[in-house]
Amino acid sequence: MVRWAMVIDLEKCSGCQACVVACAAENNVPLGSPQEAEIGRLIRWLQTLPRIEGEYPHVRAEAVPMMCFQCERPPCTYVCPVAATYKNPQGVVAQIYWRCIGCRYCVNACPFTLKWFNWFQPRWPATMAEATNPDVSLRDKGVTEKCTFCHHRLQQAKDRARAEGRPLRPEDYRPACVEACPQGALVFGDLDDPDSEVARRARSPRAFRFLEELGTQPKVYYLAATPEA
Amino acid sequence: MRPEKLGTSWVLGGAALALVLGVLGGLWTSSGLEKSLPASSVPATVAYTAFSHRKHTTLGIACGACHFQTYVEAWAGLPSVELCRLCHRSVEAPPASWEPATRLPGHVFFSHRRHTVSGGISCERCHGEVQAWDAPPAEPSFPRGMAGMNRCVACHRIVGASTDCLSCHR
Ligand code: HEC
Ligand code: HEC
Ligand code: HEC
Ligand code: HEC
Ligand code: HEC
Repeated sequence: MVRWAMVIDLEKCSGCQACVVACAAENNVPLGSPQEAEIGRLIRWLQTLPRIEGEYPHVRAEAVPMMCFQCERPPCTYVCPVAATYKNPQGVVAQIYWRCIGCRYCVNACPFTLKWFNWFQPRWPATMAEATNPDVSLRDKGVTEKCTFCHHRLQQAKDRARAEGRPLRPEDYRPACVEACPQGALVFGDLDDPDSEVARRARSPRAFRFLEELGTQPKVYYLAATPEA
Repeated sequence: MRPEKLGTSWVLGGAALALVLGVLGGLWTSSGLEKSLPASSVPATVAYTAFSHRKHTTLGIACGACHFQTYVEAWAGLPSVELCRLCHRSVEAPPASWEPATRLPGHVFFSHRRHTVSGGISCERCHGEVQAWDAPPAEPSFPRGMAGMNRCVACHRIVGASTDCLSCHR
């Protein structure tokens, strides 16, 4: 069985935000307004968490990219009253927008606050509105949304592979953020294949996951930056 | 003019004609339409939105001749007006707002080639008796909403294809 997962190497990440932009453009995430940002209601499926260590002048700044961790035991799915969010057989936490009733239980159940509720009707500047990605549906006000590891790319990759009469190759399917990262800090693949790069890196002594003590078993791993000597 | 020269131009002209016919008339040749269909029996002016599947499929034209994308692409699309001009002199194009009845909402992923080629499913199993359509259908082949989805899922259960919501929804 395939289990999709990601490893983010914080040593390589420069905090450039290319993944943030790529994600929003790929998944039709609206820009939002300064007012929305002010009240904390901006939607970014992938955002960076700033971390500052040390004291001036010896500071070290880090921007940690965070998207849905696709937990093996996702708390958000247990509370959905209509089964609009669930973990699929390949370990991706799905959100079926047309099924979602907007109760926000899942948004509040997520310990990482990585599920997003549309408090406002999504809007784009006119030129951008014409260029939304047709492979991803447009969500409405009142619906919760989230990262699915760009699952639409898997739908198409499978379709293409089958049309060419060959099995799916690892390079056929990569989420937009992974593709955009100029440093190669994001690695994506099948955790159940012990030889995949993702599985090898997840076994690294530098690997850690956020709030592991909660037992949600995230499938997004981080490789800690080695402290500067 | 010397005989051999005349011969050459005939050969060249013939080759050019065959090429043009071959490119334009892939539809015609396989069924011997070019012999059985005198030009006078083809209506000169037609309206795209009055297209009749019955009248054209009885001529022996395969679905794939007009809908070749359904075998090679995820999307189906509609035949271009240029295609109709192979036989009809003038075609009244449909208005920009015209759409076929069968079109899924944007939140569904569907691939034709996956079903027609990889799945080996005939057009009729999903679209019904297209050969009998006298005009563009008023009703979509799959009902809207849950009823339509249930039809997709019912077949997927039988053939063992994926019933995971994420396979079809995006
Ligand atoms: C292979 C040649 C051929 C092609 C290509 C073709 N047609 Fe026809 N079409 C015919 C013939 C022959 C008839 C007459 C059939 C009959 O009356 O039984 C016809 C009849 C029609 C009629 C009915 C007209 C009437 O007055 O009865 C319409 C409308 C029509 N075609 C539209 C189209 C459109 C639109 C296209 C392009 C998608 C198209 N046709 C492509 C050969 C063709
Ligand atoms: C001569 C070209 C031609 C042939 C041959 C042909 N079609 Fe079509 N088809 C069209 C055109 C033009 C339309 C758009 C007008 C319409 O909907 O009738 C269309 C539309 C359709 C639609 C969409 C209808 C809707 O509105 O939902 C389906 C489904 C379809 N065709 C299936 C078939 C199948 C199956 C066959 C083979 C039995 C076939 N076609 C053969 C030209 C053709
Ligand atoms: C598994 C069921 C299935 C099979 C098999 C199938 N279709 Fe379809 N067809 C659909 C669905 C669903 C749609 C609506 C697609 C969409 O909107 O993306 C559709 C849409 C179409 C359309 C309209 C295209 C448009 O632009 O909306 C045409 C034409 C068509 N099909 C032709 C064919 C032909 C020809 C075949 C056989 C070679 C075929 N289909 C086989 C399910 C099927
Ligand atoms: C008549 C049977 C039938 C119907 C009806 C049907 N399908 Fe399928 N579908 C199949 C088969 C068979 C496959 C597997 C094809 C293969 O093995 O490559 C499949 C595969 C798929 C896949 C790829 C699944 C994967 O592996 O990820 C999608 C997506 C899909 N169908 C969507 C739809 C949608 C949407 C509809 C309704 C509009 C639909 N299908 C209706 C038979 C059907
Ligand atoms: C085989 C493909 C397929 C699968 C699997 C599937 N759906 Fe659908 N679903 C569809 C199609 C096709 C439509 C749209 C039908 C239409 O409106 O034309 C749809 C529509 C819907 C709608 C909107 C209905 C409406 O009234 O407009 C909801 C909600 C929905 N699906 C939820 C789900 C959930 C939840 C699951 C998983 C348990 C699921 N679907 C699995 C194909 C599928």
